[in-house]
Amino acid sequence: MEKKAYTAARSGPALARRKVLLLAAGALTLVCAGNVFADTKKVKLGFVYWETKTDAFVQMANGGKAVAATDPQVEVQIAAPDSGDPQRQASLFGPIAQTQKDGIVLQSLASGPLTRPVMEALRSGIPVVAIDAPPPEGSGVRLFITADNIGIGAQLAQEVLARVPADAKGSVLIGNTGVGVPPLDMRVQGMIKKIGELRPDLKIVGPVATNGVSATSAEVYSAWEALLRANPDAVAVLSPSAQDATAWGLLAKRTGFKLPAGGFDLEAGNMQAVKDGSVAFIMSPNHFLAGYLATRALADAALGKGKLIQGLMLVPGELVSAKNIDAIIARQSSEKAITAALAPVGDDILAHANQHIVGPWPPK
Amino acid sequence: MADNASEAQTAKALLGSAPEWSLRRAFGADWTSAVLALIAVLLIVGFFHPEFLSLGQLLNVAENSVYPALIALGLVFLIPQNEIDLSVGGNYVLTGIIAALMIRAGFNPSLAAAIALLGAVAVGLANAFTSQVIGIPSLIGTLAMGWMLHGMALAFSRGTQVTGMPLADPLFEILGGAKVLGVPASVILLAAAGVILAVVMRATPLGYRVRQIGSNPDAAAFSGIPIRRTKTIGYALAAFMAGLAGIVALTFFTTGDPQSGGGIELFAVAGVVIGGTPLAGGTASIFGAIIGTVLLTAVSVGLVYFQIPATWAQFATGAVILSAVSIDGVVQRQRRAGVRR
Repeated sequence: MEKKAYTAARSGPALARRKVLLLAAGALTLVCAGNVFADTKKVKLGFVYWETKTDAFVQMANGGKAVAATDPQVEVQIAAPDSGDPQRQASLFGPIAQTQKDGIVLQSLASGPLTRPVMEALRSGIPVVAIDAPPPEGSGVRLFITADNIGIGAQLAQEVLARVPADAKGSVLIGNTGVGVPPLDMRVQGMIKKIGELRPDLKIVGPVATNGVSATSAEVYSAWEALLRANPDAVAVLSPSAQDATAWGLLAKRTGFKLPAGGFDLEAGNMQAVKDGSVAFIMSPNHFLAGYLATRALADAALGKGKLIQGLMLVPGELVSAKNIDAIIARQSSEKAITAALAPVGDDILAHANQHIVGPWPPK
Repeated sequence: MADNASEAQTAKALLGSAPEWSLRRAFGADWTSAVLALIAVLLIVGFFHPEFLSLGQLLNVAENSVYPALIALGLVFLIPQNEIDLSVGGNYVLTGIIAALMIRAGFNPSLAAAIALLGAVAVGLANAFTSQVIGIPSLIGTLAMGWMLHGMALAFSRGTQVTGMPLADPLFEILGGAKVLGVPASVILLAAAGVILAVVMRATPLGYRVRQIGSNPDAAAFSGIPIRRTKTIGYALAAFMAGLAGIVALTFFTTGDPQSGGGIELFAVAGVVIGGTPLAGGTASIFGAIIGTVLLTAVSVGLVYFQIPATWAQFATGAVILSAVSIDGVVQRQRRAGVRR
């Protein structure tokens, strides 16, 4: 009797387990069926980026994807964690390196933890190209593609200062949602240097962290509201990071904010703020182009069109203002439109790569 | 002595006559679902992408599993007691940061690691204090502690990575980079920790008490099991293993990173539950905890192979965790219904 009860008790859950496992296996099989027909003769590239929530990084990945979209001989596999966590990024780099043997593009804002995985990939013959922020030190990466962050920071500051009356006295506020992030810090460097050159009479306040705890839009808005209240003599605002221009646009609607302003990146809110006239300038570091250039360079090398270029390659920035905002909004409306506009620009840059290589990488 | 005798009598009454030393009991057969699921994932992904079954990739999955798995091993001593520690993620990050800062300041790396681990255990004891003495539910108390630990990691490191680790030091060379017959040293460490903790769980009074407290708290108290002391040991062990995972991560990733470790506690808890240690308490499986975390890592890697868009990966991983934990919940309910009949 006890044995029967025992057997009955065990068969119920065991049977349920088997049914569930079979269902799960069947579902997974259906979902994955399409992959069985994948063409395996393509150049296989990987693109590992920082995280999926920031438009700038997504644009870089889209640049990588555009190479596959425009070249049937190329397959690009994209991977990124959902939050900026270098250890999780490293855990994605590993499987990418197992399959995408023709090259990997790495975009990591804090690449130290990827030192061993990158060295391992290079040792096994997989070329790695870094974009946006420097690759792990000593890892052996020889091509680093990035914006001239100091230069475009300075250029933006110059444009904004041109809108500040010559007799104005007060301060220039610099806010940053990513203090410590290398590309952003370099843009701030350029801004501060240019302000010092052109308007040494103006006080510089910042860079002030405007990200709060989690860099939500509400936190960035509140940070700028507080910053402007605390500095009633502000004559201009600048930011190297992506979310601040959107905050200025909202402040213009709610509080009548009207200062000359210069921000970064082609987020939808930023472009709208320029269109509305609340923000004078947005500087685009051309993230899509950086991703496209790195992926295309790897693809060309893998297809035998020449050796992989080496060195530090600078991507030109793009200044957006009321003069060209409509064209920019139209271009940014879809991946297809962006690819059609910028892929030829990327191809031209690569065809004249030597003109854009400013030095060796790593620097001596 | 009298305590142990009454415990033994209660044990015999509660466990029946099945011998403690059988293989099934030794390893906790509640892990069979997890093993079957892992085999299924390997076979399915491997069928469509044979390179997934390459030795290099499988070792990569094992290596990536080490950090959440080490944390999971500690949680196996807590969850069966109807307690939980959500500060393990913060402890994982802070221990790495403290060790890295000390090493950069000139401390011997092994000494720095040992001191940092003591700090991790201190956090565990603090959690035990808030839970057992002050009486704050462990879910809330350890969640708040986790926030504090993450905050301390950010503050101590000033928000930036702590670099400049001496990679030639034996701690980094061996734990972070060495391989034995191609198997990373960290994976060997995980296996060794698993064996040791499995023996503790199955063959020592501590392990028996851990399982009994969750199974029937009243009977456990009646039979003289020191509940508060056992739970305190559970908190300390969970914290120690989280700290150990942080040290191992430091040696591999070569930097102390305040931004890392987000969500690792969820991975570890899910791995424990999927591996056969239910949140309801009462049973525990060390082997299952390892298999559970390896399974979750294999699924994450499998998503990459199937080119699930990166923007959907978070949804897919969460859905897999929710499904796997739900399946376990259904199985547990059916098992209880079967026993009642």
